[in-house]
Amino acid sequence: MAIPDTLEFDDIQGLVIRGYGALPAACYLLLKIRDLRRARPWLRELTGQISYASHRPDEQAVNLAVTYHGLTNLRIEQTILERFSDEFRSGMTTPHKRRILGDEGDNAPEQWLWGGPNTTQVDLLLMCFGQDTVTLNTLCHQLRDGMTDHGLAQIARLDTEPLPDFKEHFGFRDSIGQPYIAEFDLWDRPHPNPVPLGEFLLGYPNGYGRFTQRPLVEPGQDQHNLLAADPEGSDQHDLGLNGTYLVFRQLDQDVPGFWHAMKHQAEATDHERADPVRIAAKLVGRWPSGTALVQSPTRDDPSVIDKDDFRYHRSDQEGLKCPLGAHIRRTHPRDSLPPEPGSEKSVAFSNRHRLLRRGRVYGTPFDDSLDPARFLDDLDREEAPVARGLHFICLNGNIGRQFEFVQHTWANNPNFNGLYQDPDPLVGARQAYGLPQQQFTIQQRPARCKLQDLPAFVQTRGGGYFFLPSRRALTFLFSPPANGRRPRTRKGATP
Amino acid sequence: MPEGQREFMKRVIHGVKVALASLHPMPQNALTIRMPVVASREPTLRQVLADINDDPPDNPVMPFSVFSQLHFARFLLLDGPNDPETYGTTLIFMANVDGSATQFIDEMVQQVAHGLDQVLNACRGYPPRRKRTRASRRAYLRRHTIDSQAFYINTVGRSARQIRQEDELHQALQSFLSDLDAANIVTAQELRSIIIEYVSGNPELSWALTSPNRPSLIWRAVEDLRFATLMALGGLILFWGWPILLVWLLVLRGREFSDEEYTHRPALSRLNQLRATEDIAAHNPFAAVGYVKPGWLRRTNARALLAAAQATLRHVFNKGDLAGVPVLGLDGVDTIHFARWTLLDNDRRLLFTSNYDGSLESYMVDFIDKVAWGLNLIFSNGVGYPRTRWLVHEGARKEQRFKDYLGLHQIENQVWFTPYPHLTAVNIANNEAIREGLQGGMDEAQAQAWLRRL
Ligand code: HEM
Repeated sequence: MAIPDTLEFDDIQGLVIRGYGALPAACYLLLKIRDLRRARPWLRELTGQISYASHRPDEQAVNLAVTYHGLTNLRIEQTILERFSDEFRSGMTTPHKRRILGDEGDNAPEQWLWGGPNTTQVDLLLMCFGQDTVTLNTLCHQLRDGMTDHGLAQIARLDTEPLPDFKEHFGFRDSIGQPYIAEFDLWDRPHPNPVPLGEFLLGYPNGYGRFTQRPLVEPGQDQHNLLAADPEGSDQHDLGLNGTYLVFRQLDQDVPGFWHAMKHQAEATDHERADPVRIAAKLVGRWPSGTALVQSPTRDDPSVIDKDDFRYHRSDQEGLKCPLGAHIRRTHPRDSLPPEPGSEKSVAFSNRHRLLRRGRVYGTPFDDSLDPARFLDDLDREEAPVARGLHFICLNGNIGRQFEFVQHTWANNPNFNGLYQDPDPLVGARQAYGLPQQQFTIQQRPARCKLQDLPAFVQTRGGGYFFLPSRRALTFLFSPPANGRRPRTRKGATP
Repeated sequence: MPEGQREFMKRVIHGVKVALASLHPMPQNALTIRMPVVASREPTLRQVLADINDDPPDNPVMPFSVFSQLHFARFLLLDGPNDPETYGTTLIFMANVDGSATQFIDEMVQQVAHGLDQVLNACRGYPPRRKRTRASRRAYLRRHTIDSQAFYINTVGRSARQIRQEDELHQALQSFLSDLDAANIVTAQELRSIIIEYVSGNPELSWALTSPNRPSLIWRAVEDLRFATLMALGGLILFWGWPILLVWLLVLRGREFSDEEYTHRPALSRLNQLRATEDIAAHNPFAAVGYVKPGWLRRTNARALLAAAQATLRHVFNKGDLAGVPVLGLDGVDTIHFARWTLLDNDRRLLFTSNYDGSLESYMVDFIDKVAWGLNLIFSNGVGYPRTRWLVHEGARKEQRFKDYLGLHQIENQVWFTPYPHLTAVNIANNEAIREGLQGGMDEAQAQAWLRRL
């Protein structure tokens, strides 16, 4: 069960270990396979162009992920398809998934720009990164020309817009809290709570010290030995090894709506000294600079160096600094939940529900400064709503226990951590069990202050579950069926 | 023993149990009625159940909200055992009620007789139309009532009425606090007395200033005596029987190497069908049925462990923290409202049902992370359960195998009713603590801690 001393970094797609911070320009191409016979050779060639973790690109990078629909269109055998995880196979839009992910009403997949029932089914996701827009556009054009000649069609191109200082559109610094994975750390810094590699990469021990469900294939299905042996020791070959699952959600953000609400709440409550930014910070759990409320409870202190170096239980058990329902306290509760809050057990529990976030922002900012004070100067400056938001992308080995759990059990759940009607104020669904769920509680003395009637600030506009294969797996998926690999037999509809 | 005789013995034992329970009744009880279904009437039955499930509290057939003493209720259709492979589908009705199960049967016969007829018309032996009287219906339901071997109650003695009332109290206090101009209120004690004043000045809430109906002192004394007797009995068994128990344990340990472990996964279409009715409230109903490993050793083992579990659930884990034993470093689960284990078909099958907070994923995570040892003890007697070591280790800790095992055994509830769909067990306990805090004196720190609950 031991992890090999050195990972095969040239087998792992680069996005797993880095977010390509040095390549600020990025876009996502959603593709459909039109003609498999022509697409295969092109895709196989593409695997050579893809950026793997062994090399740190400084000009451009490409990564590739595939949906379950894509796998069926690649004519992967049914017996192999069935080995993929249930969540990946079901997709994001079953009636139950809509309910738990909050994709109902305005968020319903029927209205999505992509990934829903009314738009073309996505097969592949090409993620392109460049040091500047020119490089990116050249890369994308080159890819697009190649693919259209080779039986592939571009369904959509999702652009991104880098904002200064890693800010997201509401004006807060993002990309701070990330799981620490010792194997990815080239500097070997000591860290108190590393998350097991198997939580983010298939084929390695996970948070329970076991192997997460992953696609294994019979040796006969891989006659050219394109895949590595099963690290768990069976005679099967591991299609999952060094790959992982990628969750994509396109989330529109209503920036003027958000700050209007903050202003309104500040006027309605005398407790928080009538400051919209303060209230917004309570919702997020961090100040606009990214400093956590636990680190600096009364004012923003941008000088804090390690903004991820804190826990909740000892310093803020009651939520007086960072409210119990704040976005970062519920999407990564650290040591604040049972079993035994404050203990290593609690941290280990939280660490079995971590997400490696790799998303990017899209749309022009409400104000170039991204300074909430400037936003508030004139909230009505836009005549028509502007489409902007977050292409939320995260990687995880177990979509059910990680992404879906975080989104449902922690973010959407109005009863999270003893609360009653408080969904995640940023991303939580505003309706559950047929009742409106629109409160946010700010714990304070002598009694809490409750914000009422919080509207939704985020709307789901698209999404999907993807498999982010290893280099070997890509080669396997894009190879024509070997002798022993019969073309897919369709037994009724796929689930 | 011939089937008839065994059936008779069972009825006698059940009768004795009911009689004993009426001398020292539990405040809440589990009612399970299992009735054979006539094959040709199953489709109609399914339709009636679907109609009920459209709106469990207020449907025209069986509006569950008329029962003020009812917590959760469900109907499920259970296929017969694989062997003999004949049509053996049964309809199971389950309810968690305040007061005795027989009282609840009487209540059903009185309040929803017509609805009962519509449902039970599909059941073998139900009185024919002409012969349907209160007495004949009641007799039928009583005759088909079966015992559960273990029953977990989140908090013994907390009635459905109390839960609803305290929910109202909580909501009223929330509005009061939100409207209150708190600018000049500095201390917690000050604020607390303002709240108490509000409650006592409000005739609709003043009940909250009294304690909820708790089991009497005598009842609790008898309960303690019962526990002491069981402990003594357990001590004697250990003292005299330890060599046998040791051999028993070693034999089971041996079996652990050879017992079959399921390695297949449930069909995705089946899982999605199960998920389709889940997560419509703050809590969910769970139901799963499986075969007990064959042979008297395993069956006796299952019986013995369920009996031990029953004693522990009733006397130790009766305050909202299932299986939490801090001194042993065991973490409890505070998300389960009720759970029960029911042996069926001459101990060949075990039916497990519960009402738990959150999604199935979070429920399984609780099982795996916190109470795997307890689940292992009982469910390792089930065919195909993930392999355990020394009865408590591994098993449920094998995350994927365990989740697959549950998926292979979970069954659908055709009808499920909850009277308080927006509340978790933690909310319910908090509401009670809020009510209790309205009484008595508190220093500043205590008042502060109490206000945190609001
Ligand atoms: C448009 C939607 C969203 C916005 C504006 C947003 C905003 C933020 C901000 C400002 C932070 C603090 C920076 C940091 O800790 O890195 C943060 C952290 C985080 N968010 Fe979001 N977020 C969004 C959606 C989501 C979703 C959908 C999820 C997961 C289901 C999520 C999970 C997280 C996690 C895990 C953290 C890190 C918390 C920590 O480690 O302390 N976010 N988000």
